[in-house]
Amino acid sequence: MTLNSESSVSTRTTKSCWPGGAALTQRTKGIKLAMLGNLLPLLNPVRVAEEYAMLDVMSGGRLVAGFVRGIPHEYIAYNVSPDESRGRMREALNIILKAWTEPEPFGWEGEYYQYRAISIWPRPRQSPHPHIMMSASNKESAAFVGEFPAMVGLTLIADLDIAAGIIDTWKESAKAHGRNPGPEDILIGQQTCICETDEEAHEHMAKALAYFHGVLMRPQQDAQRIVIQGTRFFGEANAQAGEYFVKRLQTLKERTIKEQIEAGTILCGSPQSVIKQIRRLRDKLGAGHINMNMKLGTMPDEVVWKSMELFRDRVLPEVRSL
Amino acid sequence: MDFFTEAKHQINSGALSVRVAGEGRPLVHLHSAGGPRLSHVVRALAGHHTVHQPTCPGFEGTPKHPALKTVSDYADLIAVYIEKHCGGDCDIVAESFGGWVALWLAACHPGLIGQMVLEAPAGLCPPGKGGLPADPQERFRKLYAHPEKAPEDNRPVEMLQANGAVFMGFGGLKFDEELAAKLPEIKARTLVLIGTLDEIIPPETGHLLKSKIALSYLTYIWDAAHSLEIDQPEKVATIALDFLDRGESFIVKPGKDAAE
Repeated sequence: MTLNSESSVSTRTTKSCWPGGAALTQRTKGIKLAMLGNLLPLLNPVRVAEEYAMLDVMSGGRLVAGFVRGIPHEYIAYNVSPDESRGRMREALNIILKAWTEPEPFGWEGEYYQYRAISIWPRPRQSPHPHIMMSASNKESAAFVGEFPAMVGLTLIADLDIAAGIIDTWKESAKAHGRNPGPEDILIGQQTCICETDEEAHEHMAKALAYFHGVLMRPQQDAQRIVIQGTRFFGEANAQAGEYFVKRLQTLKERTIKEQIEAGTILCGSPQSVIKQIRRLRDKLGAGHINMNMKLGTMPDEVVWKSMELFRDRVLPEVRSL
Repeated sequence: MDFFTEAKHQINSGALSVRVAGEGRPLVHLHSAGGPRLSHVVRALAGHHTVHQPTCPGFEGTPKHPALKTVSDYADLIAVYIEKHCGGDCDIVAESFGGWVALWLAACHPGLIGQMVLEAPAGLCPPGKGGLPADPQERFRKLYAHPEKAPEDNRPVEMLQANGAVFMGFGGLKFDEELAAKLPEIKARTLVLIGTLDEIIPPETGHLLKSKIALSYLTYIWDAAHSLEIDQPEKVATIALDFLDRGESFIVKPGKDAAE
């Protein structure tokens, strides 16, 4: 089960993973709880370490701690220079790993963060630390994620070939840092609609995506354009990544539902169709986890509920063993 | 050597070369196995303290003292120097091998030492962790995260090799069991600095010191390998001076910064 958080956007109402995550620890017993994720460069890393440690204890060690760099408009909202995003992310992650694992109180003298006495309590339940997940939207960020003992998550992928290239880059980086990740370390996020028939699902998904891209995402796209052209959010040597980042949503917006299904960017159709689509994700990307976003745009609640029921009753039994 | 002056003192077992500069409370800077250097940190310390930088006998071509067989022996020699030339009370800043010496000094001569800053101190490297590579290129890689900051070294190769030989004569990077047993006796307030990229002295050394020395603090220096004073000179100078100036209050951020 996953929770997301985004700041100053209308696409999601969860601004922080922590309250929702805390509620889920009390309403679930065995399922892993993935917080996807905290905007690490924009928050105090010691606080993030403490909150995640608390959630891990409250859940009995079921936490997957997600860390994301955030998207360009969030740097406007928090008034932090996008140029610092990658440096802050790398340093903050190292602080959190130490905060979770150091046997003694410690200080930190860094480029962006200085602390003289870090000692969090309680420590996380999982040892040496909770599972970590980080997002990768291009090869540069995939190589970065590979530096850390983390699962990788991809969402809003442009197509399966591009996603496979990103995953290959992440695997190479992880191997260079002494790890050999498997399917259980890969998560693909997909917007999902399951109905009794393909036609019905396509119709609901088309309406929801039109509102999602045409209304909800427009302010974010404007912010992305402004931030990326005026800063080094993707680094000086990686203008291509910025261009890809901007074009990705435009590409998704312009495709028909059938084209999106063919490209592997959404899960949509009857239970049998979605089972095939999930198998393809597993075959092409080696993904052991799929994060299905079933409440999308203006999609009616009854359609969302039906979609979830069909997944539970007719899709999950077929894909559980993959 | 600019504003530092160098003098030779006859102390117990032989001559001791010492560079001195600055004004203020006496501070002894104990060098690493690479030998003494007037780094940015040493110069910054001299802006607030009278800095004494002795050269361990045998280093930099100075005569060895036959009586100095152990690091403890050298610490005893520095203790005599502090009594005679520092008024019997000083602070210590020490790099690597110098940190090993400082720990013996603080354990055996507690009345002479006020506060200590130990940068990646040697002498307590747990078996199987860290270590100093024999290959010069590999050793250089592990010394510096930012080799471009390393100053040009014009010293003869023979001198550098002799420095290394003196260090190895003291036992190299061994785990000094006798010293480890004495750590709880150290009364000096101690700040231990470890580089986040240090592959020579591992974090476990910092953990040991933090757990065994009652008044101690452990701080990681981001983006630094073993040679902290070279990789992150400003960060090391800032935190060392703040610790020496404010003592236990150094953990509190000063008000003027909080208001920014």
